[in-house]
Amino acid sequence: MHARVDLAKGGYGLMATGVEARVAAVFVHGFYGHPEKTWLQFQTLMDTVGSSDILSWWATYDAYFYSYDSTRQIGPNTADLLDFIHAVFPVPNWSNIRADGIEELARRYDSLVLIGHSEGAVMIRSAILRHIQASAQERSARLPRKDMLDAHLRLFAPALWGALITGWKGVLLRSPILGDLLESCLYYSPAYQQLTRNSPFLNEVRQRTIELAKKHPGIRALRAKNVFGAVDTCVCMEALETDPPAVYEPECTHASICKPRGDYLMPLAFVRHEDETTVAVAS
Amino acid sequence: MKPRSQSRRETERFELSFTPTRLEVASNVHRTFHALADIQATLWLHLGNELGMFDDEDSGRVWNNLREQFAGALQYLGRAGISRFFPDEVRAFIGQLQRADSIASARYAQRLSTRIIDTRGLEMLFHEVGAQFRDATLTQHVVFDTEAEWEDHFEEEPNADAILNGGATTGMSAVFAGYLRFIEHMGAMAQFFRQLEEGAESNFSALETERRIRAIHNWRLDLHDTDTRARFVHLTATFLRNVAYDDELAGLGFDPSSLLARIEFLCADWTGDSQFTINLPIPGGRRRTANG
Repeated sequence: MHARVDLAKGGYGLMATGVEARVAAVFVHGFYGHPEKTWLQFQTLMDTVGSSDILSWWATYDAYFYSYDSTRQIGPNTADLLDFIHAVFPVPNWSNIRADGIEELARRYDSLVLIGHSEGAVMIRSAILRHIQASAQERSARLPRKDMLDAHLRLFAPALWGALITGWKGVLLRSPILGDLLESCLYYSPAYQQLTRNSPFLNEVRQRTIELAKKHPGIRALRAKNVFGAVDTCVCMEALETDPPAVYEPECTHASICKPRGDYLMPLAFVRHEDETTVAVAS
Repeated sequence: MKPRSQSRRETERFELSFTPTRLEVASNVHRTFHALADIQATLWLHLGNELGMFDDEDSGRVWNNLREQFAGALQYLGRAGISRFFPDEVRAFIGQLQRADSIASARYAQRLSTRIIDTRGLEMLFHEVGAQFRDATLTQHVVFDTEAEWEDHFEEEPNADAILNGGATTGMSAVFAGYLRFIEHMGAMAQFFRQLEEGAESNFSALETERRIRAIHNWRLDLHDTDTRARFVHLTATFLRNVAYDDELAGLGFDPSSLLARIEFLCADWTGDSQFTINLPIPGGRRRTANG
């Protein structure tokens, strides 16, 4: 089971109570996302379905649902996210993340999983680059051994190629309740291809990640697992050439891809940190 | 690990979300809205206690803080005001609350089960309602505007980019931003109800909980009220017209009737009336009829 603690700026953590957690999982929502609504039913299913044999590893996970103002530029948001990750892993500093109500909680995590949706995925990749940059300058280009560079990246519909959202189209696409009406329409329209743009910022994140991943094949955090909804029309569906091939979930949209349900458990299994285990989950 | 108790944490959060600040009360929002919200906050507090999310001690502490504004709101609205916005069973319960020693001692005839919904799901319901508890935008205009005030809004069209960028603070774009936020809220409540129906110990207890929630919450957009419904339909027609005549959306082949169908579905769920329809012509020649 997990108990909730509130964190700064509307974020919160669901902390394992049965056994001492060994894995910190940080969830980062996307543009106009929400720390609760973006990840709907993760919060309850991790304890209900998570108690079954097939997903029992959830009992050793502490889940941190990070919150931020997505209307700000990605750069400063990335810096804040990196500070948050450093405050959580490997040993949480409760006062730094303003974990309200925790009086005593001993934690030393063995593993870190960074989970992003849409823009949140971009922020995670950008945070990894920022961390490498800072580490390289501090340690004369020698990369640190055991830290967030060992993180496992699990990205839902990463917006690494961006999207253009304006006008009434933007109003509809932004809406979690109405957006899918337009998404299904855009899916069949070649005109939508004109809506996406390669921003210099995103181009830089992509290029640097690929270059570093080739140069440092042992750094796990430079390689992400990516999953897209097959009918997602908000983002360009492509993994980086240095990532494993992307996975496409039938009938999932940009918004629904990261929301597990009783009959759609893939997101719960996808965030598992152990790479070698294939978890078969009925969907 | 010693996390603060769920009850304590959630009652503190409840107070932050459901209790008005002086700034909000002093703003240009209709005072009736805040009086109704004060009464409603008490009803939500009681619901949280009845469903087992707030324990008696924490509920009592919040009730002590709310009691004065609850009494003030009742006095301001009067019997007629209460009758207009709340159904009979809630009015009877409000009468009990006025006389009750504690929040827990006031009881509905049909008590809800504390096992009806997963605790975390219940927290998220309260967070959803609390997130815009004092957001009066749509209710203020649709329910409380005079006829002249209402007509003034339609001298201009809503600006999509202003809505999208959060820059709409006055005029039709601000009304529309509130309309769209409310649509999202209706969708979130519908999702909660589905979760409730899937997890409840019986269909009856799920439907009874939904009915109770609608009874205390739906005054914010009472679609059974003729005037409120007409204004909501007017806004929906404006939304459809802007979407229908948007060149970019037209180029993509977007069908506005799907939007109307979705809004009708949300309204049906909001009211608990599966037969609810809006019956609007679709701009551009396509026409929908009732139940079509």
